[in-house]
Amino acid sequence: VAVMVSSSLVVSEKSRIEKIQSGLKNIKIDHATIQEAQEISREVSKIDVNKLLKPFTI
Amino acid sequence: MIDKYNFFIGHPINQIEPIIGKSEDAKYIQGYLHEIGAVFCLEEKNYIDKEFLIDYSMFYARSFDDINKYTTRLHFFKVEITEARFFKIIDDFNIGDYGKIELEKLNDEYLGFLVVKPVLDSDEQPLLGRTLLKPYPHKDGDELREHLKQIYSVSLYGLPLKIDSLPFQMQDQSVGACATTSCWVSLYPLNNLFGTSIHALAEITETSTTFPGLTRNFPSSGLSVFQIKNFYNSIGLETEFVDIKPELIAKFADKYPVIPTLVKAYIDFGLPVLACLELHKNAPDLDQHAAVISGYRHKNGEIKEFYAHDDRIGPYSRILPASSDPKKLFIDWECEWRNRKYDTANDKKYTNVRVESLIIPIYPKLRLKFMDMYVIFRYYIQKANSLDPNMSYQLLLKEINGYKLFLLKKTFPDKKKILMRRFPKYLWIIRVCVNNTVVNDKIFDATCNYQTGEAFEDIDFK
Repeated sequence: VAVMVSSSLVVSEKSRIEKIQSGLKNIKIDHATIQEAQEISREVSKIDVNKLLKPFTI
Repeated sequence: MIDKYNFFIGHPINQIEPIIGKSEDAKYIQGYLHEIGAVFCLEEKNYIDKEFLIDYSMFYARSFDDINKYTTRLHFFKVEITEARFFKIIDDFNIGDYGKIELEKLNDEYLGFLVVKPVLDSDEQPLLGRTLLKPYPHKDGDELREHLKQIYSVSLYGLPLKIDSLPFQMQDQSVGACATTSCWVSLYPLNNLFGTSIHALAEITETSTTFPGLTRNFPSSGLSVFQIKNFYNSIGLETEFVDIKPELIAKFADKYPVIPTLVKAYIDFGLPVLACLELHKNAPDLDQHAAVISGYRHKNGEIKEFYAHDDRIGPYSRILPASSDPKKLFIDWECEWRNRKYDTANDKKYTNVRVESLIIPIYPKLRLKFMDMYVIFRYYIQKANSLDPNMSYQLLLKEINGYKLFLLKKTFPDKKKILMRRFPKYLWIIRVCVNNTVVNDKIFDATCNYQTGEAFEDIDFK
């Protein structure tokens, strides 16, 4: 009985993982996300030039 | 004239203050040695340290003061090494397996070394040079520590010792301030990853300041961001620059905030992260400081603490987030700087330590920036979260050979086909785990300019 219960647990875990994997396959990156990524990337690369020229003195 | 021969000189660890002095760094290192279990040290007099010798030739040799070019090296052990045992190892090293067995034992007891320079700081305390100490242990209860480190060979009178570490040295303002020392620390892991060359402090300052600043080059008054970038460019590397704008960081506040995700991705890859810090005061102005984030502590991927090689504090100095609010996680630091005084006369301590920006020296072919990938990573999490409550995510940067070795040990559909497929040299990977088991990797080309579409490979693990 123990073997049957444990093997049915393995089967249910396997099908749970497969369900997750198939759900992940359906996620598509939309154009808006790529644009947002590029905008944020540009934003974090921008810095006040005066700050860039100030030395780290401590 | 210096002595031709060295003698066996050993000290209990609590008696090294006359050698290393009473500077803040020396006190920190004493405490750190105690934490990693050091009980004994061997003193190697008149040691020639290449790093100091270069600084000596570029700066100290032309000083009026009579400055020695030899250093003192201290080797630390977790047990007492008696003179009789040490000399027996040397005498009988070549007899059967004795040398091999004793060397293995000695290496297990070895905790690393530090070099004491023959130069004093402004408080007349000795400056501590190249220091390679064992990091905090990997395991800490149910949490794990990850450090940037690699194995270095050490010869102690011919005995080949090894230490797994990341080099540190205290600030020596004559030849370089905090940013120079941070660049110096970063050169070791960069050399390991990309084969770039190692330079001494004075060389780094000299190269960086070919981009001019208003302050003096030598004695060093500190480098600017442009000068840091100039140095990395000179050794054939690029830099990734991330300005930490609190309002932007707050946008992504939850279980995977920007700073811990970035630090984990780059440190796991083996890349040092330079933190540009603002030290706030009870005054309108602030001080600027730089340090290297060299490791982190986590529980199931959730980052609890950073470690930094900070030339004004010491190696592996601990950093906690000042606020547990995910919107501010690791923007403000609770660290040793909060105990330091900016105005000793009036007993005024720094009020806050804030990350102003992060600089990551990278190989030019690593073109797809962290932030480009991070936004996509967050998009996946948003979409995938509803699938199962036990899912966790990682954003990883990988080099192809190491990643293919990982794949080789896994079971997944089309294994042969995927392993035989051409891959780019560097990859960004969005990894999905269920109860800490890897179930899916979405693989992106990290050598492309920007992400234009879907992952180029998507692997479901059995």
